Amino acid sequence: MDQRMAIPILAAFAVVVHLVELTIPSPVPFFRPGLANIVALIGIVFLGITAGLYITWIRVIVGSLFAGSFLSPAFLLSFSGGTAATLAMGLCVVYGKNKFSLIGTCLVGATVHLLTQFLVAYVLFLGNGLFLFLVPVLLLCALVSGSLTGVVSHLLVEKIKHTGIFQPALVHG
Amino acid sequence: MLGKFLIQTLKSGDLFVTGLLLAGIIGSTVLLSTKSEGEMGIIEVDGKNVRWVNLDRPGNFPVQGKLHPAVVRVHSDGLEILDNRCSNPSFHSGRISREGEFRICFPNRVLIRIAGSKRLNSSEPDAVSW
Repeated sequence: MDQRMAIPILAAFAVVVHLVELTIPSPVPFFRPGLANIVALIGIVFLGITAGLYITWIRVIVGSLFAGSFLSPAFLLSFSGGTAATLAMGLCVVYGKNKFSLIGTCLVGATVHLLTQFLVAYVLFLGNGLFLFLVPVLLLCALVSGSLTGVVSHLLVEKIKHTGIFQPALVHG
Repeated sequence: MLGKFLIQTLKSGDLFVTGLLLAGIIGSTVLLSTKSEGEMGIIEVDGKNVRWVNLDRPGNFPVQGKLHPAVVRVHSDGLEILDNRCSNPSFHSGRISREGEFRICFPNRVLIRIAGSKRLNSSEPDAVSW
């Protein structure tokens, strides 16, 4: 599959997953399972970090337009967290493939995502340290969601590799 | 089967990150769990203190948020924001009573938090705003 076709298709998948995820009630502020990041990670593994970023940005922008939260505080948090997580996962995949499996990559992505949202909320909205009291819960959420998305990502990537949809030269993972 | 899968899949970096996360969870839980029940609540709007409230004196306190008015209610067992126009219910609902706990309605910039054990003298007003 051509990269020019693959990115929009993966981005569309990511938007659908993102919108479905919004219907899942969240017990903790900001926390989402991060299922849409699986699609971004697939983009990174088969197409590169830039493709992963495009998928994330399209997912966040289009998803927020559908959800009616474009340019809202939630959008800013999602955009910053998604970008940071995608970059972190990309670095793990491209430069750390001997040290990190996709499970560890997703753990890194989930942690970076949540901590970035923390930082943005602190800088933009509040300016005090009260959010520190959410750190234990959010780290636990990162551990759980990163592990689950990592296992799912690993299984999906192995399946996709065997289908041969993407050209072998582009496979990074 | 899961064990075999994990043994075959996990690498050193994965275990390092997992260890860091667990250490972070345990460490931050220990550091932050030493707070006691507070006696004073603080109401902030847009980062500025607007009111102190004594948690021993239940009542409703109207607050002008950035977008619309809201109410902060003091119960016998804690403090809460009453604002059904707040779009992040998972972050602003529920009562708080322990030092360091807080609730915030993001769009309206209203925040409440428990301040600790400072007690106003009985001769002073039970809420101060400035």
